[in-house]
Amino acid sequence: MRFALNTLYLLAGVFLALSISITSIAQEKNEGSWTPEKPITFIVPSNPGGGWDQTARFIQQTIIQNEFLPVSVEVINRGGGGGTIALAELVETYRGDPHKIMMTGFGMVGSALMHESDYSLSDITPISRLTGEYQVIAISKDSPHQTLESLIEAFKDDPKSISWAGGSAGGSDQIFIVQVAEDLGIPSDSVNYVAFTGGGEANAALMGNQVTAAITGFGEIKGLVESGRVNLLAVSSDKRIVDPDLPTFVEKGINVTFQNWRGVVAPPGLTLEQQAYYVGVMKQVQASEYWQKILARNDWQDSFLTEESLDTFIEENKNRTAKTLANMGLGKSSEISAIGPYFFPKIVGLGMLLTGLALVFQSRRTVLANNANITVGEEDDQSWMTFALTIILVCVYLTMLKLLGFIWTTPPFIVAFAYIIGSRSFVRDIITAIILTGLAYLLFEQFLNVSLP
Amino acid sequence: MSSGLFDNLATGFATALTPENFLFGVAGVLLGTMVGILPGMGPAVAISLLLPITFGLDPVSAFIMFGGIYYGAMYGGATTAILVNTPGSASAAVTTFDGHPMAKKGRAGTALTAAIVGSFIGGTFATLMLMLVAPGLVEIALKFGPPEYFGLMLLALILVASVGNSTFLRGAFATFLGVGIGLIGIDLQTGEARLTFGIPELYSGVNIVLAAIGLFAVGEVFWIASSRTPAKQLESAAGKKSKLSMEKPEWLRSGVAWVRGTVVGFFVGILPGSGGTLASFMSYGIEKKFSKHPEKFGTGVVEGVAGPEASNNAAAGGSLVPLLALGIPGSATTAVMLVAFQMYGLQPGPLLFENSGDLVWALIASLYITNILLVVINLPLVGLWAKLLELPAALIYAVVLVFSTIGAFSLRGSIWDVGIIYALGALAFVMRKFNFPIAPILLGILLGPLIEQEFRRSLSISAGDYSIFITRIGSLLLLIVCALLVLGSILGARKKMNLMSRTETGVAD
Repeated sequence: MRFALNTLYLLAGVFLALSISITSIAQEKNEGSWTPEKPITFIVPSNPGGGWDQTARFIQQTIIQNEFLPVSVEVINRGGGGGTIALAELVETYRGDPHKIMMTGFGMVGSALMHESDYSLSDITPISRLTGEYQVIAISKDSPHQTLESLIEAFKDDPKSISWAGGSAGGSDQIFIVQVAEDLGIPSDSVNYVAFTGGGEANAALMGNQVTAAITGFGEIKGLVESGRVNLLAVSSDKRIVDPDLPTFVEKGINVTFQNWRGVVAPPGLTLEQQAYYVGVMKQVQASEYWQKILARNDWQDSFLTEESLDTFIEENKNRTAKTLANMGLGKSSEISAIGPYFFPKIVGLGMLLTGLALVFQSRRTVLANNANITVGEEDDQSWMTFALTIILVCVYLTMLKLLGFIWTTPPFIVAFAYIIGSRSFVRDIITAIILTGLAYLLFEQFLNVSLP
Repeated sequence: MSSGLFDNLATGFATALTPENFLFGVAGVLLGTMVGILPGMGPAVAISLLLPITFGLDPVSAFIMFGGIYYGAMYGGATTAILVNTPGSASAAVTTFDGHPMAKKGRAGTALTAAIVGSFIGGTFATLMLMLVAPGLVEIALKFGPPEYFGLMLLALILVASVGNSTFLRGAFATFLGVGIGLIGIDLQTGEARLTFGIPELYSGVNIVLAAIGLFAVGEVFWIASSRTPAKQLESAAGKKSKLSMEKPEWLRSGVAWVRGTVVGFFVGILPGSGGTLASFMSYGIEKKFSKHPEKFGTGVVEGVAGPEASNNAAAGGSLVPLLALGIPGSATTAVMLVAFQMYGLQPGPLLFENSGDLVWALIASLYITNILLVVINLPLVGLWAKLLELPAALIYAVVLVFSTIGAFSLRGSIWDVGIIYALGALAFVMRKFNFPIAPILLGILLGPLIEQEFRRSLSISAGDYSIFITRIGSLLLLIVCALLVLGSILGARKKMNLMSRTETGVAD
């Protein structure tokens, strides 16, 4: 009896397994040909907070909640250079590593072009595009321009009198408004774009009537619209999607559509199976109810795209953006104020030169005044020696850190450092060094989850 | 209205004081204090590391913990700043100016107490204001446009430029150098990479946290190491049987500093994009201006710790105002908190109080509680911290280097950042050797780029018309104060009479 029951279970199990694999073969012929063996690191190419970070964490939650991966997935932030630092890291350091994926999006296309980065999105393995956010023009509730027509009229009359607030130069907000200007026949260097550190600060400037209008993502400003503090004039979608009462630029005769997209990529050098595996996972994410709820809540469009159509999209996106950036004159774009990016560095240089010269002059006078008293003491030589030794030690430490890792390089470093600064109790120092390194490792790597070199 | 307020607050306390939520508050304060102490790790990083873990929690519990982390970290940074000249966070850099000299004199306990009580007062006042007048304050903050920010930043620079007891020329040179370092990176307005020498790692500029660790912590270690008498320095401090409590005159002096620091910090905090570091610098500058003995600043006066420490906690509370009232994050930490809100499907902003009143009131109640916890948990630790100074100095400084290295690396996993702190440490050493003050360098790194951006934003908005700085009343007032301060110090320097300069600037506004 028990035997029979066991057999029954076994048979049921086999049947279940078979049916699952058959259906999954039917759906994705690739499932199972490669599966991740260790935890996956999901790199966010910006600091914590902000659109990429948020989207990546939503994707992570969707994967965890629905158990789409057999291993854990952790999000890490690698900010810098508008995403180009993380892009370079993915290409150079993680080439062929199938346990790394990265968040990406329009912003990276723009910054890679603008900063003439060594790499572009064409150098990595595309997985999927997931979300799209439309751009809107927002005005404060007190603005004299409560319709797009009125604002555009004023913009055409005197382009420089209209200030547009948005995120950093060369980002989606600026690229979009420049494309609008191009369509209106307004030269891109007359667009008075005022860059703020983030959408939040740009929106604050708009509410305080500091600027004429703000360019932002629909989801980002929705809350302020609902509270009645700002009004929207038009949206960059091709049809009225996000709000039936909000006209599109196209229907107002401005032939510009624009989507600030976000997606997932992997390092170059992945096998086709590995790429297909992640494409499969992202398909599951997109199809899940959980994800669809997230999209709806944030007013993001489900702009899922993968494989060949994604490749084509990225190329087109890159070319179109490159064209706009070229019209803007790349880095040297449309700053309306006459002073430009090198004004302050010049002042600083001049200031250092003048104060430096004055100091040299002053010290020469003192040297002449008390000629006899100035002698470089032996003690002073000694301290420079120690300083030089410390610097050499630090350089060796940093080099070894990269080669051997934290655990092996830190104890010798501590002992050597203690020696340089005058400690002679070797046994104590060695013991403390080992204990300390161990504690630091446990604290950061295990408890705080910060990876050490 | 007021009875509604008490009802709401009572409900909030009822939620925040459930055993479970209370424990999350305690955990938050402990964790916050810890990441505050660790150089480089700040509340923003701590909260983002916790996001995946807290996702399964009730949002109320999660936000109670985040509040605890935020306030805890703002205080925690002071501990190591005082003990070993290592600012755990950028906003604690100012605390090293007088806190560490105090520790060297055997007054570490007093400095720590001043920091803890200051943090409590700053945080509690900010929470009170957040509860009572958030919407009105938001309107004032929004009136602050780029020209006013420019005026404010300039004011801060002038106030603090005289921090070191050094000559004008040396201070000015150090400030210019700092501004130059601060300008490294991609220009926000044009996307142009400036002073980066083609190195992509420098595109984002020199992070202010790295600058604080490099200039102060690493610089100090290099300095101590080369003096070849490291052991004596700290051991003598420990030998002086450090007094833990504060004496009566110190309570009085600190009291005034706490109040001023709190008010300044809170108002700087509600302005999006300025934050705790500026608040603590301004508070220090103001304390020095109003002090009867400004020449003693930098040698270990308790106001120099009390003011800035109250100020950065008040700024932390202040930055919650634009976050909750408008959904606009004013600091790195509130940016991460915004993501956390959105992950729970909550939209901070004008409607948050209506839609999720329970959560908001529980958060406010918990902020009061975490402030009390901050004192209760940390005051007993003061003696223990002061005892740490009795360890062999060589090892203490080795620990500082190791933790600074990890802290710099943990920011974004880049060995470049580690290199930057050592380079800045070496710079600080060389500058000190030639008698240059270090503080203006950090101030320049912090304020230089802000002043530049606000100046250029103003000119963009006015389409190149410079009159924007004097036709706006707020901007005009700030610039007049700046001018008076400069005039005052020039006159003061001329007459070489401290007396004159102080009364002149005292009536400035």
